[in-house]
Amino acid sequence: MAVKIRLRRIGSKGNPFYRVVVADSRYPRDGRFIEEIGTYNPMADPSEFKVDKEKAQAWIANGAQPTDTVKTLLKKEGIL
Amino acid sequence: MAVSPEFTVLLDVYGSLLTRKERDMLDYYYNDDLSLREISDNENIARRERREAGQPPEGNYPENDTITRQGVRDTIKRAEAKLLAMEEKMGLVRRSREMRAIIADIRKNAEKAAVRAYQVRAPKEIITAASDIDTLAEQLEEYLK
Repeated sequence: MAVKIRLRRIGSKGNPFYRVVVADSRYPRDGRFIEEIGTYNPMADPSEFKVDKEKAQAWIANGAQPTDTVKTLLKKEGIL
Repeated sequence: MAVSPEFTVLLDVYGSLLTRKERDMLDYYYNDDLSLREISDNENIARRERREAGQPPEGNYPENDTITRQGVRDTIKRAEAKLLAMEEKMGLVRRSREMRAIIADIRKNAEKAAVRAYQVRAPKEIITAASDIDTLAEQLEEYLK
């Protein structure tokens, strides 16, 4: 099973807010996820990215693939 | 997907003016963080299922056609250009952002006036008027949501 780390939007109209979730790549749209490891608020100034560093690194070490967006955010935090 | 919320917000505001396909693809791309590859795979599965169920194509493509990753990218880029053009003409996002800033300022001043009026034992209607301004500004804020 391929596992991905991706953003998933929550938050109201005009006010995007995301969860960082670990999810099965085969069901990208069904809302299920394995674990929530953080949040991302792009509307804050500066934007706020909170993620459980240990969990993120553990998932990646176990072969989970972050999406390009998550990769960018993780790099910015110095986690990747 | 870009890290900036720009298109996400534009999609919320103007999305209903795009075609269904454009709206769906931007939704997958920005709100679900799917890759171009995942979007084209999903779309091709949906097309195949329609074909096998004997349903006509949903949109402007030949019966047996599939969409490539590049095709999804083109659709998304085109839709983004449409969103930018709409914002350029109507400016709903910019206006609502500017209005929110002004309203926040009004509320700050109304609160300050109410507190000050109370401190100097001003007539009650002055205090009430200041707090009414704050309430009205709060209602305006709700309209912009």
